[in-house]
Amino acid sequence: MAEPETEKNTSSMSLLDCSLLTVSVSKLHLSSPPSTATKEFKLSMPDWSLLPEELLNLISTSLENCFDVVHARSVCRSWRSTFPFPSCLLRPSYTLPTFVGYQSKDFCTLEKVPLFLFRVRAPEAASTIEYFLGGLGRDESDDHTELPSPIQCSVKVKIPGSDPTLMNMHDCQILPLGHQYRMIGCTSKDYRGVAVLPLNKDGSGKEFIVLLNYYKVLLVLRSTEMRWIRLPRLSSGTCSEIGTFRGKFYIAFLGQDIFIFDPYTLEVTPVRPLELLNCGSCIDLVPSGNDELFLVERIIPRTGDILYLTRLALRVNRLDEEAGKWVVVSEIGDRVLFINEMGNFSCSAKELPDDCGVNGNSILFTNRPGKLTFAYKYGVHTGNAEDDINCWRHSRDKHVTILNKSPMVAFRVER
Amino acid sequence: MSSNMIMLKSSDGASFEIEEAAARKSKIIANMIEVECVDEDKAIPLQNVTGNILALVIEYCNKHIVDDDDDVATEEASEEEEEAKKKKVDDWEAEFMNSMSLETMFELLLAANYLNIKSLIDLVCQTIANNIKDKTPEEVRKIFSIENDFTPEEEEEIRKENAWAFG
Repeated sequence: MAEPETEKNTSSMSLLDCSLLTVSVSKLHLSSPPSTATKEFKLSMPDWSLLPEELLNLISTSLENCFDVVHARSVCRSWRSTFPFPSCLLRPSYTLPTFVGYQSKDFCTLEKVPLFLFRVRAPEAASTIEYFLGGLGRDESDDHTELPSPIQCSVKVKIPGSDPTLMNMHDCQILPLGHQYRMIGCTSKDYRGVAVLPLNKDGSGKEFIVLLNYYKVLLVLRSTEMRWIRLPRLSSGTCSEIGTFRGKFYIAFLGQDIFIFDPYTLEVTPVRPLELLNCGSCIDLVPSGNDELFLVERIIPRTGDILYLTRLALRVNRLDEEAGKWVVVSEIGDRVLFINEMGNFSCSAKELPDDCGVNGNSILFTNRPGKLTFAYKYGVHTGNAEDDINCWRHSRDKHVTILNKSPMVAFRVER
Repeated sequence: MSSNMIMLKSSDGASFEIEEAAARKSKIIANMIEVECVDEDKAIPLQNVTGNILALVIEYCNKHIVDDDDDVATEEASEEEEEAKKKKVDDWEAEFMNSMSLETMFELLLAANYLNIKSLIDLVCQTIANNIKDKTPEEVRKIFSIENDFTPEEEEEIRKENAWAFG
């Protein structure tokens, strides 16, 4: 990532400075006594653009919110040329051969999209808080007349069925959620998702491998070959999800089949959770940065052919990568897991205020039928003696209203 | 712990006496002490640092040398004590930076860079960043007394760079 690189640059620059200055300072010391005040102490505001570049870079990396960097670039010409556009806001794209009838000569576009969670800052008295979760890009529409003046970062929110609204970013708390890869302009209903990993064996950092979920088929493309190859069939079920974690692909099928797919050797290793008896289940993979990979299983008790939907509960597992197995967990720390139509994400609730309706150690589904829901928590009493308490269930304490499901998620929570 | 005192002389001729251990916070001065080019009777001339800024640098170094000593002495300190101590330093640093103007911060940053005091460079950069964060470009211009020198064409480009949408 960009940050450690900058740090490295800065420290090597300082070392260089250090040796140069030592020479000059020693020389000064050996020669004449120091001249008296060469310049008056300035009372007027100094020219900030005169700061050495590595110091300006250091200031830039101290700005945690990338939109503050965009604002700094909007101050004056010299700041614009010194503060680089934040790389985390770029949407790089790659042209790949098309995979529809995967021998065709057409092309398709793979895009890397930055993802953010926005919490709208509400007055103390407000009873609900609104959240937006989704990919962010430049507003390409020509109509910029409604933009805030004087200039500041704003985001256009368009929920089908209502007029687009403009939010000033300063009115929101913004948490970066990493990136997501998308196939742009792919309308085929057979396309179910894409995942990308860098291939860095040659050290160039430019090569990558793409895994594509195309209904019943999994396709792989390496940037060195630019050719889609079909993976042998792994499971009789339909592939429900693909994702990446610590440099490996994870492929999940309906039922309980999950596989680890190595991007270098192309080897596939099964990693199944503990078997569930007498229930139907549905699984979601949720990576939490590079720290943990969670597997969330929705479990529906079953007797014969009857599924008890109202008694739906979750089992949550954490990947033990070394042992190559899933470990059932009753807590996920201060994390909140968001399970959405557009992909699953995790964020730390530590960054959020206590009374904002979204708390750590909880899981929120925004992709279920209906508009009203609750966060899932561990050990909830249902009032029904038959229900096992040692699992994750609807917490029933704060209503969550889902306002939009795709491509951007919008929801409102009681505080 | 040695309590050798050394002398520093600012660009405007002011002399400062400082404990060697505190002066060693500056990699440049530490380096000079290592190669023994420090004459005990003579002050080290610092041509790029004025007296009022050097006084701040010395205040910072003195404060942090005491803290470093504590770290060595109480290796087995409990986590709570560690936390309390860290909070004390953080509070001191906040107070220290709070008392100075942006002009002074600018000079202090250049001095910290010249003397190569990494922790002070980081502290000043973070404080300057705090003056930029959560502000509109117009507010930042006011705080830093910067003039908007964009042409109308550039202004339009900036307008586009500040306009975002979900999708």
